[in-house]
Amino acid sequence: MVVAIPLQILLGLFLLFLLIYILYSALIVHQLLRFAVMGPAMPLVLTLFVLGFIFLLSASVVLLATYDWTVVVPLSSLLEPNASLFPL
Amino acid sequence: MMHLDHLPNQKPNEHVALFLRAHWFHVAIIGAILLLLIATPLLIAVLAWDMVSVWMGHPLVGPFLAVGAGVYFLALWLFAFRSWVDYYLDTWIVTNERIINIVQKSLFHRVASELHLGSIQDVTSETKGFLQSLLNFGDVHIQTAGEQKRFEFDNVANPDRVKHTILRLIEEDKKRHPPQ
Repeated sequence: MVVAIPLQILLGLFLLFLLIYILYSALIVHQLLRFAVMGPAMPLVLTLFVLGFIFLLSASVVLLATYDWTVVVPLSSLLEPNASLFPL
Repeated sequence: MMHLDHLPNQKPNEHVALFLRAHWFHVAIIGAILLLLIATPLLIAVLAWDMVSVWMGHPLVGPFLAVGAGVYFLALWLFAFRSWVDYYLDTWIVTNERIINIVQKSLFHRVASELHLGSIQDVTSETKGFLQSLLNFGDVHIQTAGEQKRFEFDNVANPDRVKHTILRLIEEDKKRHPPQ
């Protein structure tokens, strides 16, 4: 029997990371809006954070879209004695 | 959201004399660390582009590197934002009646304590080191009478001015509430 790992698992893990990321960010923003004393820096930094997040997320999506995620990696190919994970 | 004109348990004639956070140098350090952690892997990628481009083009290694890079930079961004929020939520409010010390120890750990001006025995300002002297920031230590309670204003701007303002407020408070 050939055991194979679909590459989509990696994509699923990334989506899970994004979900936790968004939840954690929402909690931080909630704490900030609840307890902070309003100052000029607050809306500025909040906007900067959201714009930075959108930029980084977009860049990640663009980069990830260039790969074929239907690839399945046979485990045996990774366990071969001469297999090299990082090709040179 | 907290408003300086509506403090918790505010007395009728109480007003805010000082509202303090740590000096902007603290934010500059967060920015410098963020810049360093962003620039280092990008610089390595540029210097070793021949090798990195081969890895990125590999059908198996490429996706791992792409996801890793995405996670790294997103996490870094969140870490910087979180550090700024910690800085922003740590505040000291000095009114003509009391000092309120609010410290955000972690996201769900917030300590708010207050001290009446009448119970303060000693106020000390401390500026140490080249950067603190150059940028005029430092610590203010507030010692109460009797119990061993001590407030620390860490890395605030103009610590001498803060100390003098608090001492003046204590004198004014003594006149309003003479000892019996």
